[in-house]
Amino acid sequence: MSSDPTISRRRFLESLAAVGVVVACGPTAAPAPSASSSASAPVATAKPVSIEWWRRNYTPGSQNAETITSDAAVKGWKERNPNFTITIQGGPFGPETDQKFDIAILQQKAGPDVFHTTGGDVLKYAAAGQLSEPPLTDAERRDFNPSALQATTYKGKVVAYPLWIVPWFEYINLDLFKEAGVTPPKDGNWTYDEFLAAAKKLTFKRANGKQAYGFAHANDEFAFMLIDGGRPYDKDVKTWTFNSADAVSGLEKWVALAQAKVMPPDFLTLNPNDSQARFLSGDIAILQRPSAMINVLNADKNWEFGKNWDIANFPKAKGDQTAWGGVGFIAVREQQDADKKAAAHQFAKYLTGPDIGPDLKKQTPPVEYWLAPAGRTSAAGIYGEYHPAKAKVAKMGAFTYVLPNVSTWSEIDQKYMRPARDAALEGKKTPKQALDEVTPAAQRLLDEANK
Amino acid sequence: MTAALRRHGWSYLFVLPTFSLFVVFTLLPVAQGLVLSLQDARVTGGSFIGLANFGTLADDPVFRQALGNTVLYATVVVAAQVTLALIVASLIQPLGTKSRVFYRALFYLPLVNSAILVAIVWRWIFNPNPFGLANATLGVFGLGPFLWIGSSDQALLAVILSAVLTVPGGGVVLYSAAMGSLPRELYEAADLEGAGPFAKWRHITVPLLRPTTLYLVVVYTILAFQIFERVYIMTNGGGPNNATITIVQLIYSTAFQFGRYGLASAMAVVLFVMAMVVAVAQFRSLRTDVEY
Amino acid sequence: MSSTNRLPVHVLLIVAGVLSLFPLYWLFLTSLSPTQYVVRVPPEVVPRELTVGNYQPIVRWLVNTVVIAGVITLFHLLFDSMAGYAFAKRRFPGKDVMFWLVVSTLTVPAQVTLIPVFFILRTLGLLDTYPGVILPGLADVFGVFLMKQFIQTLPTEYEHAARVDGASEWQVYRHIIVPLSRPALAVLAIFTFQRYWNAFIFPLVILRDPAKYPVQVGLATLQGEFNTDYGMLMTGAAVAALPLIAVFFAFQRYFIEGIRIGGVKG
Repeated sequence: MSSDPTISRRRFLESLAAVGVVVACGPTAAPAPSASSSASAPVATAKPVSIEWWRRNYTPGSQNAETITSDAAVKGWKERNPNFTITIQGGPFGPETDQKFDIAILQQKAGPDVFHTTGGDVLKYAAAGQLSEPPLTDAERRDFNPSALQATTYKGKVVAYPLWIVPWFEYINLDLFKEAGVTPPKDGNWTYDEFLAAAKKLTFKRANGKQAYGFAHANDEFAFMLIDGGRPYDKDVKTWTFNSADAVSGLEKWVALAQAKVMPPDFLTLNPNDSQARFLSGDIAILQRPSAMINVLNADKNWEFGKNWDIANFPKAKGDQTAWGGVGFIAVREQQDADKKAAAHQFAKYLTGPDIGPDLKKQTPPVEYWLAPAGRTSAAGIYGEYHPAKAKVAKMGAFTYVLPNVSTWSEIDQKYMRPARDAALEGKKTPKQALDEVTPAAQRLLDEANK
Repeated sequence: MTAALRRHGWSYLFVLPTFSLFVVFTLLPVAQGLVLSLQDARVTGGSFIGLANFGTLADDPVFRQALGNTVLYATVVVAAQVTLALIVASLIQPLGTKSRVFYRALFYLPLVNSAILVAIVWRWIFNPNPFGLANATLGVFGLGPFLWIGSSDQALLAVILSAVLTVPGGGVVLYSAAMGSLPRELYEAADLEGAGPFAKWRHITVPLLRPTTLYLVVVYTILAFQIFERVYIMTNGGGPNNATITIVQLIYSTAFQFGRYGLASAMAVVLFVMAMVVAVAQFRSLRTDVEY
Repeated sequence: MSSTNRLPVHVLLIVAGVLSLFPLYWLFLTSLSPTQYVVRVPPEVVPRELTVGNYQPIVRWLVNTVVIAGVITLFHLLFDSMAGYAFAKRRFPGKDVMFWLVVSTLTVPAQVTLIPVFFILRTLGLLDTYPGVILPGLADVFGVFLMKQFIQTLPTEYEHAARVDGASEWQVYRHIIVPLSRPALAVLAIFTFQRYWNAFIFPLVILRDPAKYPVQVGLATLQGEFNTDYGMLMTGAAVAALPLIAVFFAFQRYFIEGIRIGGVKG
């Protein structure tokens, strides 16, 4: 008969891409006051401490990014603090591993001393009182990206360390632009009208007979709805506003792309991996994805930044220049053992701070720790140093709209917003109709999150 | 001890290992799920709310959609699978030994694949682009291209086709094993009366295979009601506009992503009741007192 | 059927078989191609470059899976035939209730029992252990249902004859029922082994130590957050499929016609 029901593993972290590594370290030391100086001065009289760190997709012996950077981080930290042991635990990406985390942290109230977490989880764990508040100095607080801090604030308190912000932007295939005779946007800036016109011209049959399409995106975001200024919530995150006139017109602009047939016929089913694969095959001229795609392109010798591909911003429409983004966090678990907890905080600061990047770069072989631009200004530059494309991206943090943390967002997103978006894009409902229909459910869920 | 008691004692002994494990690892959890369905349960605990969860489900258009999709899928796919398995096994049976071994292996092999990877392949086959395998094949005959998984109208059809276009190896194997045990005498008697192959098949083989048929019908229905990862991977979750969302997928996302264990358990209860009703009907109509 | 009639049958069967095999073909194909070809769209149906993948952690995972699936299968063969026999041929108080209880829970999907089972295992101290993965596997009842259906069709005369000859209950089971059930047992072995070979969600949640991961869980870790090593993934899956094929061939010879040994009527 068929096998035991197995479940798809991927892609639930979606916009909230970060993988945190938290390792507890030596006894409490007062955090260094200056944000730019080392927040992790070696602790001389460290009594031996051992902590447990949980990181998704950590698999000893494998070559995936999470494993490599975790091992390297432990090495880097041990060089500064030789007296403690870190054991790392992982599990493949996916909701089942998320479940494992939940069971440990929420129900057993045991498990990791330090762990990576994403937006929705942060609120979940904070509500259960399982997160220990980071002891941040004012300088450190200022160092963090404000919307990232906002996203990790629960009932007025910051409950985790923002690790990195993952912005979405447009990847453009310069070869296709050349073949279609379209000038790439200067400095990466373009208006919506310019964008639409370009996409239309970029939907053409190439010299080799393959059909190229102007634009594509994966099914895990709603970035286009932001460009006229639309936002899911009001400033206080109390009212659902994703059916405002601006959001509706943003969706209309998106639907116009579908109607102009500048997107491939499978545009509604592209999951992130697929969308990237299509771009790599040379089928798509403009692809909307987060910064992680840079690594994918760099790994392929047919793609050279500046020659074959470039980065552009979101098209600008009525609103200010914006980008959609997600945040990853590192959290420290609230527990009785004060030493372990303090050590965990020390390490969390290392992991989110300016020192870890240079430390890991100095290792043999050098390890690129940052998989996305850091959430702290002092550390942001290092991501940019890895590659010119990343340098371009590092500057985008300023205008990236980070989705505020709402504990029921996952349900709003998957159960209501995505079908609404699909219905509008397919032409089955008008944008206004689709968005209005889900507003009551969305507001209800938002109220529930705010209770 | 009377003989009857001793006999019963042995019966219980035979059943004991399986049943005790079943109680601990299946019955207890299921009972817990039942209790959960009456609660507003989250990861951090819950409070009793009676049948409120079921009320929520009744009002939930997404749940209704999932129910409809699942029932449609199960109806078509189970009928197709049992029929296909029977026909293929029947075609194999009279062939020579080498052929039989070869074909059984041929039809069983597809099962060794991880279901996830198979789903990925079907996703490629039903890709909406003209170069998607299905479209390319149909294009040869001047048909298509169709949107398949890219359209909320066709996505469910693509999923159903993916289940129907594969000969169910398990069923073939099971029918083959059962057919091998059928008594020769009946066929010899029928031969003497001049019955042709089709008549023999229809009046001897098929009825005698009823126990196996019942098993397959019940099990395939249960599996069809539980369909999840095939759909999930082929259509990225619920498909465009929830076109392919199924009950188990909704249970899964409700429990593991939205954190509503109580509601998810209530869905499981609904699924359970539905499946039981169907199973009872199936047992009745394929009543088997067959012995040979 | 005469030989000449059989050609269309063969053609039909081969076509159906090839169609059903296509995903498997694809699996082996992509395991031999470098990753970039795998993600090409349209996918490359005919391989252009063949390479041999890197097999390191897969061996450990395979060993784990052999142990887990093997043990579960062996116990199922024993327990399910016992219980199937009891439900099929014996009368005892509470039999119908028990049987319906057992069958009805087949409808409950794994996702629902997952967390309660997790906590039961935790109470028993079996988390992150092999028994913790094996025991819940022994509780699944598809096999009991299967054996019951099959054993039900065995003529009762055999049992009666054996009892008349003075065989004990256990001997009846061991020397009459079991041999006659060989085809069903073979099927059960194949199905059970395969089911637990491909098990994913339970081992994932119950095990912590990656060294204990069975193969499907291990393969899942090859799927990165930002990109997936498809080549390695498919290689692993292809390698993982081989033991299933071996088990099938080992057991399929028990589907012998005329396995009925002699029997009452001589």
